[in-house]
Amino acid sequence: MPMLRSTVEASKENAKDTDSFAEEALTYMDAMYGVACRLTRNPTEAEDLVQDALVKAMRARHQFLVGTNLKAWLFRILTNTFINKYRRGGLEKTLLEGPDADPLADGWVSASTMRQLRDPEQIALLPIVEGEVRRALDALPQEFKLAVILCDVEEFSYEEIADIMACPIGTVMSRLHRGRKLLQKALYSHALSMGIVKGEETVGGERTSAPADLSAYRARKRGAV
Amino acid sequence: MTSVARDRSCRDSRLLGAYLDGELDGATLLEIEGHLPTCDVCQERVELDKSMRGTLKNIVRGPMHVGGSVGGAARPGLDALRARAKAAMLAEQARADVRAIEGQEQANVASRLLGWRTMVPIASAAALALLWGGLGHGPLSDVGARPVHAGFADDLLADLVAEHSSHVPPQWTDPKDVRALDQYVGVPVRPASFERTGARLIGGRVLPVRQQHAAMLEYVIGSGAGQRRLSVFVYDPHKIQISGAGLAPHPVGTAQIQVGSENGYSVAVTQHGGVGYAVASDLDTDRSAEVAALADEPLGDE
Repeated sequence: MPMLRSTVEASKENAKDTDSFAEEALTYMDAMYGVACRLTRNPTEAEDLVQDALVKAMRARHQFLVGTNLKAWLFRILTNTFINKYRRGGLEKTLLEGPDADPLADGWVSASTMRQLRDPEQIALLPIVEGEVRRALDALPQEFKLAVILCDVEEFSYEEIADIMACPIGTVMSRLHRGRKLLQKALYSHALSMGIVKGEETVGGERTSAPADLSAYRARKRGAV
Repeated sequence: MTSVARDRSCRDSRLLGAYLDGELDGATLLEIEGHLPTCDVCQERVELDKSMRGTLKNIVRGPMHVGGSVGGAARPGLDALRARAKAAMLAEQARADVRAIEGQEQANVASRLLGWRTMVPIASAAALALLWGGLGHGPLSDVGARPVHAGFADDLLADLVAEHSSHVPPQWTDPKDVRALDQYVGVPVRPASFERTGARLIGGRVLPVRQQHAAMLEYVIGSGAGQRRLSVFVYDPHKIQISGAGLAPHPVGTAQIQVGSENGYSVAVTQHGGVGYAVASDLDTDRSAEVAALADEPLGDE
């Protein structure tokens, strides 16, 4: 069977190529796993998600243009796999685009309060801060969470994130802005309840002794839909 | 425009985010850089934003904490995942190679009589040899050299017996990996079920069967000269149909089982819970039927 033999030979030559693709893709596995953990909030599911994404990448590797951004391509597959596997209905569309009925005021706290929130003297509180930010991150709508992680942790460009999340750049910016604001609000709210900062007049002039938290924000959003 | 620049920067902090992200165009960048030294609030926004990014990096890249509890179980090393993911990727490539070889072979022989039964075992053995070689075990030397057993009225059954008789080493030996074969066959794979006869799992592999996949679980039973081999094929009966032609009913307890034998091998076929099972073994038909019946019994530990 000479033809079969030649195919086997060709496949052998291909094997080296295959292996180097696998090796290169696996260099991004840790980053993929970190993001998968935050998306699924379950280490076992995160492992499955990463493996599924890598296998899909292998299957589709001929569609990848050598010389383009492998990391962004892998994250796009990871994101799609997550959406398809865990969120049949897609991302939380109800919380998505459209004018914000009650926009989070930009001038929500003073410079001195912001300074306190990141004050080196508060370094002893770091685990508490991290815990609070983690909780707030987990509670974010998925598309805000994904945008924030892709930008702030993985340092993808807006264009890459738009490609990964299949949305316009303007939407990326909006998701980033709102996601970050919600995280900062959660942190501030926590610091306030811990007595780390005092309630104060905002720059905008509104009292923030009862700052908007995420659940109130979501309740408002749902009510508005 | 300069008169509103300060106002706009203060009111629209997304520009500060874009500034930190390095996404501003030149003119806006100059505007922000001019504004920052004059505005405490915006400076602090930038600093808080930077600090938040540091915290986020720690959270996402640091040890995994589920449910937000600080000091929870640390993320175990990712080496196991890396090894598992790599094996799955190479297996995917091996399957692609099998498909390629099958496709080429089918094109080559077009109207000739070389059937699936000889082709796929050789193709899958070749792909396994590649995988095996890639893992540093050296290529298999006897690819294509083994006999094919025929005689069952159902060609597919004869093919499964041929697979059983082939002694191709399993792709996966860890029971956890063998269970994970369910993702390829679309039905649960429970290797431990069949160990209750005293059989020991050697490993498992994916078997391409007429454009579908079955899981092949390989066991040995007994020891020394009395050692016998046992293969259990697990498949989705909606995708892979065994006609049962030439088989005889052989109920065990409540399990409906059909058995047959050929060339010293016996087979037992059953379905349970929407999953198809075919046992091929060196044992007699009674023993094969007993093994197949285990598919019908619940297993506590999985």
